[in-house]
Amino acid sequence: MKNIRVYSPVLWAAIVITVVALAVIGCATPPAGAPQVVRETVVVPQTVVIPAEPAAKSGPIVVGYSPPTLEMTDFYKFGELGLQQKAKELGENLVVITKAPSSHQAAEDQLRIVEDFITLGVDYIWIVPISAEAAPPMVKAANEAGIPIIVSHSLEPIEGVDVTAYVGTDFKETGTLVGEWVCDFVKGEGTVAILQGDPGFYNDARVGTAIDVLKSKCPNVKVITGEYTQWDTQKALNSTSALLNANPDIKLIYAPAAPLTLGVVEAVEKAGLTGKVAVVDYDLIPATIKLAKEGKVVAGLGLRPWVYGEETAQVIKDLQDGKQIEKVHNVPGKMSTAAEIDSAYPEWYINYGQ
Amino acid sequence: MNMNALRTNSRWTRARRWLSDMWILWVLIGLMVVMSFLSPVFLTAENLLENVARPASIVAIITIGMTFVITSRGLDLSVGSNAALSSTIGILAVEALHLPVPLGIVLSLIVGLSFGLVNAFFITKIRVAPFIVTLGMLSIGRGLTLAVSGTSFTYGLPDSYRDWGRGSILGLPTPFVILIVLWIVGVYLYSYTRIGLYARSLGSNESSTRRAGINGDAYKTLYYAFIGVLAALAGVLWSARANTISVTTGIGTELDVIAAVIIGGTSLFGGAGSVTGSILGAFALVVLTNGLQLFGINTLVQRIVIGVVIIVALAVGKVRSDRLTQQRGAEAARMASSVG
Repeated sequence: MKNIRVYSPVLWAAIVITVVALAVIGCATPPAGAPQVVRETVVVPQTVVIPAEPAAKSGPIVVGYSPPTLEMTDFYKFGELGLQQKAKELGENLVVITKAPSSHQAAEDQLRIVEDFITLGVDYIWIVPISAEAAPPMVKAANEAGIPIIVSHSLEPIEGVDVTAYVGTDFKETGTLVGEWVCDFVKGEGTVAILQGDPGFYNDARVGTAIDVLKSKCPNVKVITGEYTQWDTQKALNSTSALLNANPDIKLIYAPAAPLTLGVVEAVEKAGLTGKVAVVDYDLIPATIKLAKEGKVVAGLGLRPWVYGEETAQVIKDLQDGKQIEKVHNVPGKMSTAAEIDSAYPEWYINYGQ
Repeated sequence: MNMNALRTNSRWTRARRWLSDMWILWVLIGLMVVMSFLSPVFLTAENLLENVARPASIVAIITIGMTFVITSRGLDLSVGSNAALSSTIGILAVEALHLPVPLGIVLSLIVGLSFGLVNAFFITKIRVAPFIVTLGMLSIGRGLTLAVSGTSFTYGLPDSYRDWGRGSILGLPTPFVILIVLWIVGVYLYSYTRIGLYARSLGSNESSTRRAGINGDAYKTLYYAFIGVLAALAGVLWSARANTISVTTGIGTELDVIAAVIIGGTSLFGGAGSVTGSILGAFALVVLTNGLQLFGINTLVQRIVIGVVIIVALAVGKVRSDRLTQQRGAEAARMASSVG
């Protein structure tokens, strides 16, 4: 190896990256209007013995939380927020270790995270699987370690393993709600474009069910689907652009997740069709709520991600107290038009990050 | 044969060679003809400018830098991460430090440059294989982006920033205009300066090049710095176009860029390449995707078709290049004997 000079340009490069990153982190203002999530990294000794009865343990309750991503929107952070807040309300001393896979497609990463949680000896595991298909191995691993596992987002039963509790939303039901709403909005005719995420249950339920409902309830509606976007904003933008170009008669575009809605809105705006082509969101996170208020999104299937966290905190509290718990905790979704959002969501959520 | 005739013949031969080397151009034209038959809207100005030129230009910008890197027998898998990190830092600095947008963009480019220099350091000084270094930097870049953004999500960028990605100059998409400028610069550097010459030389035979007194490390550092800046620029254009910054920016781009460069005629084993070919390769891939989408081909089938086209293109390119090498060897021998 050659000698490395102290004044090497690379040294400067590393300094530039570090200083700029630290400056940006230091100067970034925290989002106003909502209680802050406190992230704590806790190293639990690997020799910790997991008690058979969690109620018998004293000290903080350690929860390993693995959302599918922390990178696309704030959606999954609201879950953690709700968990922390509700736990405080319930007087539980909760420590949450949050780890997400490297991308929304990395099923193996998420399994490895769950295995890490087991090694760390967490008391509870709470997962939002990157796909319904990715869930069984993670639940199985938790089962084998004897750690209670709560599965969030989708309520689709996972066969062959023991899920402690499901906390989420019936995606088939929400897909139906969207299909019915869209059918009414376009008055039973016209062309409707629907974007897609990734192949699998989540997409099938949100998109496939909506298409089925549209076809049965509004047979005169022509439905066209875009390519799989991997839940990515850039790809949604490209896909929508091409769809609009190939089908100038599109009346409405349904984006089955908030990151896709952002791409759709950009493409519609770029094509000069804002207000002419209706955009329907799925999720209604603060960013898409803002777009709805600006008239760029006509409606959305609203979920309440922080309630997932609150329900999970309650499940943990009940388990700690040795109570019987319900297996399924349904947090239903609801279609809201732009005008209905104020009454459907709390103010702190609507204004989050603004 | 007199010298004038030889020169004319040589000029004609060079032109024929260029057209032959630019076989990806014929592939692109062929694809466009096929796509225009498949979908009547394919050849509309709106589609070609907004759905082909705009997205393809952003990828093509990185292919220019990748051509230098691969020609010198290097590789950069970290371009997508670099794009995400650079654009995130730039725009967060605009928001948090209230920097003017142009300064934020310059900051992004500086971060991209620094990213490239770090790659170059480990490759040239520590002698770690480019594949390993840039794979590591791919991961570091994503991690840093998450750390810098605090995993928060930013949507709604300043208009003057967005114009870089979604604006137009003289009716052409801004990224396309930037690409044209960079294409001219890239071709000049690659074909008419030592920067390109030494990239080919290092890729063909690094030890001989070094023995000839050429500072290979300095040139390699230059190539990684160059691609670092270009990746950062692409990140700025992507986020400006989508009106958002996200750690997902540029995920998987490295594979698109490498595929474009290889089908554009650059040898994965170094020593030869073409900036123009790489750009055309990027456009060919986007034309293919766009055309299949307009035609309404199922996405899963699209992926298969794109994969098959890439493999066939590479196979044809390999066969052609082998045959050309033989032909040119024979030609050179003939010319040498006729001059003699």
